[in-house]
Amino acid sequence: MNTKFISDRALSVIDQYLNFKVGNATCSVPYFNNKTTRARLALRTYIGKGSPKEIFEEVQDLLLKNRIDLNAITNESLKKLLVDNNIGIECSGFAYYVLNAESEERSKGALDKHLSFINCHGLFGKIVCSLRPTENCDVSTLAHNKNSFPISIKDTQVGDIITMIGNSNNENGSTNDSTKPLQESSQSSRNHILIIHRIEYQNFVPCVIHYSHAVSYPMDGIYGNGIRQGRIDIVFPDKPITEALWSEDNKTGENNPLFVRAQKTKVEIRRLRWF
Amino acid sequence: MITILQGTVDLAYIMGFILVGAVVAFAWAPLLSKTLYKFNVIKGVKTELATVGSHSYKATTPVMGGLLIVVTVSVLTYLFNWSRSFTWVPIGILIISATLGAIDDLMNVYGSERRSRKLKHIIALIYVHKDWRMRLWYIITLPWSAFKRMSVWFGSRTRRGVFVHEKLILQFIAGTLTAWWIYAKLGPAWHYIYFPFGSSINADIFIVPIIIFIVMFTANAVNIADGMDGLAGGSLLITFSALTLLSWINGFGEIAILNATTVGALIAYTYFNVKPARFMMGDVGSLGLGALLAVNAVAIGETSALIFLGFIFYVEAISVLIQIFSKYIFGRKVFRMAPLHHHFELSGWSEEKTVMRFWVIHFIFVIFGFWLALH
Repeated sequence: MNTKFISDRALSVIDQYLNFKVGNATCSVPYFNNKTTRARLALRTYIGKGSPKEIFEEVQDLLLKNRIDLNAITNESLKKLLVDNNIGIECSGFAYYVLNAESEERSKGALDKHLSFINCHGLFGKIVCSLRPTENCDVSTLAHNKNSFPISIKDTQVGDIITMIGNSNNENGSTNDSTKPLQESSQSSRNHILIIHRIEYQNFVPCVIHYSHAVSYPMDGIYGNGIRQGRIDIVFPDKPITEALWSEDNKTGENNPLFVRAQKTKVEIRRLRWF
Repeated sequence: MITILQGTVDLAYIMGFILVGAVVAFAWAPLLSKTLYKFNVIKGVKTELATVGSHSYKATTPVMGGLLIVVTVSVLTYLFNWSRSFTWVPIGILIISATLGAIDDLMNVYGSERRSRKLKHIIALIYVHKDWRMRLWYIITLPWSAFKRMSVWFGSRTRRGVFVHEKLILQFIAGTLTAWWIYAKLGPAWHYIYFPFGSSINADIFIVPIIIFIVMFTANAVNIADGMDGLAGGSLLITFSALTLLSWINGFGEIAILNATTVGALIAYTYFNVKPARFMMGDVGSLGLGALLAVNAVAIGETSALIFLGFIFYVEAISVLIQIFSKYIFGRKVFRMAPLHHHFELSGWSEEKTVMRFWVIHFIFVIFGFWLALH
């Protein structure tokens, strides 16, 4: 079996989010989506788009302001501090920084130099996108044909992305999901993105795909969400990826909320056009 | 260079006012201090940093200590230096700006929480309010409500004090009064902006908006710099000392005396304001003295040198503008915290170290400004 990893630089970014370290405490950066607060013109750390360094600096300032001793902070209190102050990362923000690191490692330059911001219209929109590329890069941008193209499981490489666009419930006409709990309702209607950071090959065909993503499941509660990693065991390379075995946190099949979500959305493996 | 009154006042006489100002301010400072503590004129925490470690005592330090300077200067000027041509307007501006600051301070201390109603809420009320007079009122005041809301979008927020947009309107009035005095009353020589080494520009009517801007910006700059014990007081002491000498050199005896009195009062104020502060300046002092600084510098024809005479205040104000601009436009912070003195404090400098280094840097630039003004 042959295994390939994403570049060390990109792995380092994933690690900084997954094992976010302040003093002696470590936790994964929580999930935060600005659609819950709709903050405008805010620091990107507070709208789910901060880099690990920016989040770290903000946490340092918060510790000082709240008179918390750096060495006294525990894993739980660090996570609580982040969540209570709306500091976190959303899936596309996480993907942006990892892909940006990968792009730079491959000598392709920064991600925003290549991206076509499909949601930015007019001169003003273009100016805004050029000033705040990270904030204006969402899943639909990365999953747009101008920026990426779909590939089959057999051709999958590290650095590719798995996109989940739309919601099959909505597509079938049941747009009113007000009966669901709020978090689940808003969560399921959002697009999602996973980063493939490691692939195990057998006879030059991917057999296990390892991914990382920023996510919040309803059962995670307020403080349990954040960056996660999982694996997709490819049983039949010729069949759609939704028929593979998805596992995350020892949950597989119908018990894995990501797999359930994947069943309801349009799932594609895509590769950035300049990769 | 404007030199209409050169030689009319003896320097020793001017220096005497520094002593008089200091003695008077020292004499009634205990009374002011007792009054502020008695009425519990405590603003609480101005920034989150105010609760940190050695800052915690600030939560119980009264504000409005700037009254010591404003009252001392106003009373002494009224008694010994009352000149229709040269001190009426500066004192008027000082009192207007200080009053605005006092209102803000008092609202922060005693006022109830203020909120800004959303525009769509007001429009809804125009349609649904049961009282037609209230509906009419909302229609008439809709432009003001829209202006208020727009200001809130741009960061004009408050819990209890005066909103930024309200402050700006009152400061604009003070600036306009100054501009009118300088443009219409002092004469054509004041329509020029004088630069070092003999050059000048005739701004004519455009001197009016320039003066309004200078007064508003300087008043707010001093207000922003008033965030650490002794910082604003010590820096103003350096600035007004230089301004006293420049006023005398340029031949403005009355303004030189006014500045000297301010220096005297500032000496007493700074004595009580160094860490740990007995009281803080508050907006009453910072807005008033900022406006007075701008008016006096423009009145003696040192508009261009003002950049260096008020160096640390402008740097602090610009640091705030940069931080806001960067936050809104790029979503990133340039400084760990604005104004600049908090950035250094978060970087590990102690309050004393920050204040003293700022004094030294300010002193160097004031000397440079003084040197430029002499050319």
